[in-house]
Amino acid sequence: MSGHPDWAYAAALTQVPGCGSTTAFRLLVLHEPREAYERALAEAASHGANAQGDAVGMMRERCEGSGVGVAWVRGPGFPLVIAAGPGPCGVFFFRGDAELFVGRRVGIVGTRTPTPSGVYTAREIGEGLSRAGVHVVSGLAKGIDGAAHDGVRAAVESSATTGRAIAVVGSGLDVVYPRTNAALWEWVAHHGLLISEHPPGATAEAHHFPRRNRLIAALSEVVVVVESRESGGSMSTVRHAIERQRDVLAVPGSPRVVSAAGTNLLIQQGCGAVTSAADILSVLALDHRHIDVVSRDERTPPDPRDVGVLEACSHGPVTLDQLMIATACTLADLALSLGRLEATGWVVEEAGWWEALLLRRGRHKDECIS
Amino acid sequence: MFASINSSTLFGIQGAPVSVEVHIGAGLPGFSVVGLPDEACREARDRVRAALLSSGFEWPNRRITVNLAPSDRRKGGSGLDLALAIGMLVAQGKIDQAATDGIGFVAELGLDGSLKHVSGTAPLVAAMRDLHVVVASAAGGDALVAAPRRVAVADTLGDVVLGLQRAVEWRDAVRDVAHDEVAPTLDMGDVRGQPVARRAAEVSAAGGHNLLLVGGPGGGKTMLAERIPSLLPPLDGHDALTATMIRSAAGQRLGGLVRLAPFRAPHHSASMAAMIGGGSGAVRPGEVSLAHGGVLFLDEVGEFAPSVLDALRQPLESGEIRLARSGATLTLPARFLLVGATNPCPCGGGAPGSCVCNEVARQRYLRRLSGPLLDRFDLRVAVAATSPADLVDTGPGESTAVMRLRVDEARWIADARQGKSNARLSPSELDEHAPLSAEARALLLAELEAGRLSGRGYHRVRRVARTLGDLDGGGADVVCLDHVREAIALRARVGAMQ
Repeated sequence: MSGHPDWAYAAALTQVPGCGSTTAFRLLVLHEPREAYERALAEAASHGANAQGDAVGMMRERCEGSGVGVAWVRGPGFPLVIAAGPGPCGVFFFRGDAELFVGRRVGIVGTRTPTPSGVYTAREIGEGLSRAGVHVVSGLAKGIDGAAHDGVRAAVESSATTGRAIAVVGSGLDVVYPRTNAALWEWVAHHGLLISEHPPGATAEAHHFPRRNRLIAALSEVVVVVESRESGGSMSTVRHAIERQRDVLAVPGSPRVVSAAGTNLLIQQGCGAVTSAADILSVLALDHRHIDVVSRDERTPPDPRDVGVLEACSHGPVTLDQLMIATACTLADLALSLGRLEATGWVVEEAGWWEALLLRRGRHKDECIS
Repeated sequence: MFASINSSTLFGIQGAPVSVEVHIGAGLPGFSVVGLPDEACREARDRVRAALLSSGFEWPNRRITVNLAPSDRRKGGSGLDLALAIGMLVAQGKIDQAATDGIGFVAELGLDGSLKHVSGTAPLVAAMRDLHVVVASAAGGDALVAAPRRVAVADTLGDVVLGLQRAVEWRDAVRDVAHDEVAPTLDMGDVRGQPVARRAAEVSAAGGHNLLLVGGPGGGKTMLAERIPSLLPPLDGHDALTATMIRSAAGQRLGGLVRLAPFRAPHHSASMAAMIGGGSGAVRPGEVSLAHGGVLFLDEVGEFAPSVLDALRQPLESGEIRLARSGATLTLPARFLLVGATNPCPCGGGAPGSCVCNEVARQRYLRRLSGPLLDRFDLRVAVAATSPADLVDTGPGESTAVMRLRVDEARWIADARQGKSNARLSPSELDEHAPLSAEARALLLAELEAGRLSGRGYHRVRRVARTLGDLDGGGADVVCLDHVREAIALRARVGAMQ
């Protein structure tokens, strides 16, 4: 057992039986990684667990093989925001640009089963923050998480912005979860930063995610909840954020939408309500005026004939039946209107339910119709 | 010592003539049946023996051989009992062979000599259309439907023998009014405040388009589906006869020809055999055949076994189901309108964002929904419960009678133009019979390019648009923009489908 770099010992520490993240943190603060690893091994052996072969060498191969970097608490470039607070983190794995820890960071989290308008909101906020040069921290889950980073991707691919995506995931960095976000996962690894507490090869386990959430909270200056149920995983991120004195902001939703119940509750309890990236930038005390300039609502205004229909779907998702009753149109007229509105981006359909997208990034509230 | 008696046996929904040949000769006393009998046929021996003895006849203590000719096809069922008993009597010389010529016998025997109704009496009798037919009194109505030369009924084996000996007059069968079809009282007028769902039902009935209703519990999916058969035209000529034979083969009693479009709603636990037909030996028609000419309604379509749903693809394509069995391959008619209903997810959440399912369950559910079968629904409509205010304020919807006028008109137009329903138009026939206006073509192109429509969806939208045009009076040969738009709106994106 010799000749391995420090980081390999730090990485191997995560696999010593009985050595959780708190123990790893304590050992790595007090000792050099090699010393820390040996102490952890001795401790494990005293409880009857045997070391298996050259664990450090194997871990080193795995990390080098999958292009994964390792950061530990006293090592170079370790962001102290992660180390501080309850449930500290002593070592993590990363792919991508570790320099991104320097810079303004906003967390965007939310439900995995959002409404279409929730998805659009998350995407717009992600895009707006990225254009303003703010990094977006999220969890790469389905729904809101993915949509936020999708917005960052749209901004980065369409213009030279400096705001990037930072994703904290609950599995090894070579184990894509969920599979539906595989493309986004690779994109973040190449153009942003992908972080995990779990060594390469670790599968996604249910108990990883609440702990993953504490890192999202720790890495964010402000946590924005776009849409969440009352007992969603996002609410655990909110608790971690509050424990760490991070500001929590929430996007208000209709009281009739279950997936906005959590965010509305947060607002009732005193969270700031935000509806656009500009609102978040003002909380960060950043100049938000220029994002209005680069990204105004580019949709063509709705046809005057369609305003009634747009209005009727602006109170939450509705079925065609409800629209026909509300507007007293024939189905053919309604279909024509919805077709025009959908083509210009004013409404979206999901499984037969239609919903208006009134607010677009950068629009002033008095500009929008309602 | 020898007798040959006319009877018939069932293959699927068709009867086939069978001669029951009985030979009584010298040899070790015994009884054997040859000619591929199934279990029910083999058991006939015990029933016939008891029935003969109960009716005061003898069971000869000699070598008895029964042959069911033609002997290369498997015979099933208990309908040969009576022919076998008469054959025994003829072979013993109790009845003249000549007296039985030109007469067919179809009935099961009770141990006391009584005659019983047999499943499939109508097709069995139809196979002996040129003969006089003797059946049980209970089966007289069914036998009349098949229109043979004459149907005589009897209650017991003794009556039949007396009839054959010309000791008494035959009794003629009478129509079985107790099993007459009763027109359902369900009316589309009961469906209130769901204009789009009603419209979809109308389009579905007019063009033969399969319909999927998506919505949470209490949205009225079943209520709507039950009323769709009332929009369909009555079965005519050949279809009516086919439907009648199917019902009879499935063991149902008949008052006359089946005229009303059937409505079948199998539970989602239905097995493969129950759905497409089957069983060992005698093949019984399944739900797809019983729904021939009418509606097959699959509630909770995602809960059906995937293999059962897959099996629906053949009848949906070809209008018939082919069943291969060890003996023979049978083709049963199965042309039906498929109406499916499903919750949007396992919890039945309804509107987007209100679901409380866990992710894995939701994905699994959606995967089932996005299978190739579900792609065969031309119409997909989200159905939400009517709000209390609408329920109270809106009057009854348009009645079935009014909607039927439009449906019949549209069906007539399509039939006159292409001789088949719009849902069955092939892509090349679409170009011929449903050309697009310039605007409509531009719209479809835009939808395809934007990825909002798949290649398969493109043809389906065109078919539905053709039907919408026909429903509007069909003045125009060309499918216009409004109809294409409406067709797209009636095709909600469910799961990953487009």
